[in-house]
Amino acid sequence: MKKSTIKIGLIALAFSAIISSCNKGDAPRPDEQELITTVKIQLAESASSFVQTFTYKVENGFGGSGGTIQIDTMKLKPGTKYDAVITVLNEKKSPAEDITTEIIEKDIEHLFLFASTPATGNGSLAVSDGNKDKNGAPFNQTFKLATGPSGTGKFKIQLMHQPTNKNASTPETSGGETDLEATFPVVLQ
Amino acid sequence: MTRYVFAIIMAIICCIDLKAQDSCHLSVQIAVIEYHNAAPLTDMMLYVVEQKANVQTDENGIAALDNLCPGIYNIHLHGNEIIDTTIALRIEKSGLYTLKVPHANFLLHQVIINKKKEQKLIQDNAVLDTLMMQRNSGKTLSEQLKNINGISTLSNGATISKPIIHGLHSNRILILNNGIRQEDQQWGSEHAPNIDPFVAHTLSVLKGAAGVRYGTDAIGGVILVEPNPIRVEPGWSGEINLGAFSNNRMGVASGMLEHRFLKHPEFSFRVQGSFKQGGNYQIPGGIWVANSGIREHNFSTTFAYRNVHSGAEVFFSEFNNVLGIYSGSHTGSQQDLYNAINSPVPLVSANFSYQINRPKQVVTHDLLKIKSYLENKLGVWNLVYAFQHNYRQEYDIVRVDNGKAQLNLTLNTQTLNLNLDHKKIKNISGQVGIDGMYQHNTFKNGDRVFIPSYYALGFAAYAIERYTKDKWTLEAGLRFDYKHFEMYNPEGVQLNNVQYLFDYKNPSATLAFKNTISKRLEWSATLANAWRPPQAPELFSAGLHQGGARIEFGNRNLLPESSLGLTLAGKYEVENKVKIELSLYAQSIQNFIYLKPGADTLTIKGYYKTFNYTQTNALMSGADVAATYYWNKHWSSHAQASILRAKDITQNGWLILMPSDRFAAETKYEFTISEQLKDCYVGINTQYVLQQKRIPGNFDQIDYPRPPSAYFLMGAEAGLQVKFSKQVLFCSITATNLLNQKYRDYLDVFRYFLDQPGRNIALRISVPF
Repeated sequence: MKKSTIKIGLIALAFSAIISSCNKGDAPRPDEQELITTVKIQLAESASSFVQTFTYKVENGFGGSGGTIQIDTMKLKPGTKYDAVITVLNEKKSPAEDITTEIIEKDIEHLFLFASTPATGNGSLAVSDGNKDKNGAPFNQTFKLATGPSGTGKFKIQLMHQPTNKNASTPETSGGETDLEATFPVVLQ
Repeated sequence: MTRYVFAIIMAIICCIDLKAQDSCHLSVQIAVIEYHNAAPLTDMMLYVVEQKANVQTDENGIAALDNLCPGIYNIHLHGNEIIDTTIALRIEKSGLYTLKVPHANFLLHQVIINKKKEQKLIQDNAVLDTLMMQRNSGKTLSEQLKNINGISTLSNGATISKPIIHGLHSNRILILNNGIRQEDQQWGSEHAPNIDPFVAHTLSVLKGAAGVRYGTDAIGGVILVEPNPIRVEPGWSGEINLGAFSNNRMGVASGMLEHRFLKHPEFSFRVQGSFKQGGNYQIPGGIWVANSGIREHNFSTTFAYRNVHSGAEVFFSEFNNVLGIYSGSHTGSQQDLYNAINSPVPLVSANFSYQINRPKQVVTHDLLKIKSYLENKLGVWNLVYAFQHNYRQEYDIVRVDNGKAQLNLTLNTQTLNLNLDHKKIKNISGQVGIDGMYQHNTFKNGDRVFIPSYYALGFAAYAIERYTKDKWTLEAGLRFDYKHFEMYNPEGVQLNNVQYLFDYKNPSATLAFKNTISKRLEWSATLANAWRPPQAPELFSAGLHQGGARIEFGNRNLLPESSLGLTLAGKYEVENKVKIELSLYAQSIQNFIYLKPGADTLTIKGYYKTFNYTQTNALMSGADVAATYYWNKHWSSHAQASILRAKDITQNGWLILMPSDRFAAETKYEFTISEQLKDCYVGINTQYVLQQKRIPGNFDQIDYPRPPSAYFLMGAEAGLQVKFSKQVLFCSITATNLLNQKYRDYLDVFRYFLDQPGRNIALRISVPF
């Protein structure tokens, strides 16, 4: 009995020693992996080469509380043609990380999709001549944008990852996972 | 000690009424009684080495042996109430010999596995015995438990599932793996328990709060995964199990080998291992589910030392698995989710393959358990130390695959328990004990944001006593828990760690009565409570919930959840004729933690539904009813029903994601063809699960679509025991979803994307040796 009491005591001691000897050190720090905060659309007027850039930025990316949100209104001329280039950034890193390069590298796995509301008429935007990926399938990181008659509307840019149908023009038919979705207000005047 | 054959025991042998007999015609009765109180020990197995014969003690604790020659006989004693022992008995004359055996263990938790007489915790419990486990081998732990009335599963497709007891799951129930509280990462619905069911010999479930004996979190109940005791007789034995499943072309193999040393019978060991590989599974319509394969390999080993009044055991097990997750289930945005829901076919198509790609989980769980026990004047002392290491890696679909996991979670837990099953004091028996726990949860630098790293420390003391008089038993227990958490939550734009300290203290109590009216009829009532502290995700979630396409925010002001439950259970049984079991329960849960919908959040992927962790008061009530009727020697039928009402009392509505009412029925024909082909059976079973219509009033705001329709499933099974000379083997064939029914289940997270698996035919062979 006595022996066993001692034994039990020793084990209890060892146990508490294990606990107290644990060095708590620094707690690990996570990283918001593959975070996207910002989408920029750069529009060069085909006729004049006058360049405008519109920004859609959600600082916290995936949500979380706090952080700033910046959504520019695309103020454009009606009935005009533009050359468009999309850039994707993680501005939480400094300097900001340009994710566009990664996306272009993996263009086979990515597809930019667009939707204008309204689709035609006043305040609408029309997309054409999107660029292709290495396999010659649509990629649409650069394209031509034609504005409709004056009015207001919305323009949605969506980036799909691993789409199952690269020739699709809507996310419903493209499949894959949404990497970003940015809806710009549009004013044509 | 040493030289005595298997001398494990002091036996006092008295001989009464001895008559001279011709040699080899001695008739002997052996009475086995308890050493201290002289109570007869019933249902004891006696194995007479020299005769190679097994006999069992009757209700008076007496076993009869005939045609013995005078001489010394070695008798192995094996029973639920004693430590396995061997006694050398000199038999010279016919008559009655009495063996006094010390009651080895008053262990409450051990006794739960003998479903027969000595159910030491009065609480309502159900057992999946060896036979049932054999018929279900190869399935996951949760899928096997589903056979128990009142248990359902929360799943992610066919490969990931976790048990639900009366509507409660995850950290509201406890799993005891070989007596140790399983500490793996039960954070979400996609985190299944990391246990190899082949380790177990029986699975049992305590339904309802059981906080006093098992500690925090045992709100919904406790699942006990229990291995068989190691063989009693010296020598080797083992078992091989093989299984093949048609649906996902899965193969399962498991083996066990054990040995007790002849020269040192106090020493024994066991090694056990299993392997499983399955590919993509199929849903009705010939559709393969992309990336749904599974690979698992597990092993365990036990080394035991058993002496008269003391012993020790070292157990080590390792669980390893790789699980593919249906690629279409990781949706990037709410719109993606709607697209998947509205698509008539799975959006990601596939062929059959064993390959597992991203997204996938790779999990390892190690358990080291060191147990020692000692019997002295006070009773049986048990000291158990355990170390658990759980390592979970989650590989997401990424833009740039650098081969690394996006989440590398480590959960290390050490536990220490000292328990005394004290000797009976008059009519009172019971146990007292203390528990200690230390836990560290961490991840790798640069991992995806998931839960904060933390340290947890816990202490507890408890006592459970029972008073037995005539046909009545009264059980009462008390426990006090203290838990301390030190959490490091990454916050702000730079994700700097902020320290939070939490302290929780809580008493628990239990009170139970049992009345055995007759051999056939008994009933019990249990009033028990349990509590749990809020867990890390509930306190600190801040962002996207993987796969669910929704945002969840934790609440660091949450209070502990506590529950008080009343269970009434009754049983009527006429052996080989009829068996009826009924249990009614009502459980109130204060500060029930749940997700309340809030305003949508704008993210770079569009708007998301947003939920905040908050608390309410809940009332869970229901009934489990089961009846078996034996028509004759061959035919038997079984029917069961499980009904649950889960109410949100504060808001006067129903709780979300609760199992709907379900019914099952089975009819079996059992027969024997010959000595070589026996225990044959053919059975057919059906299951009917209603649509869950008891949903919160704001369901359409929270979830879409409404719970799936009711479904009816059919299954069939057949099996037999084959004997070649001395070798026995068991074969069986089982079909689930026999009609290849297309259906979805409300408690399957993949109900949004996929139908449930189609027909699955399993072939099983079990070879003991």
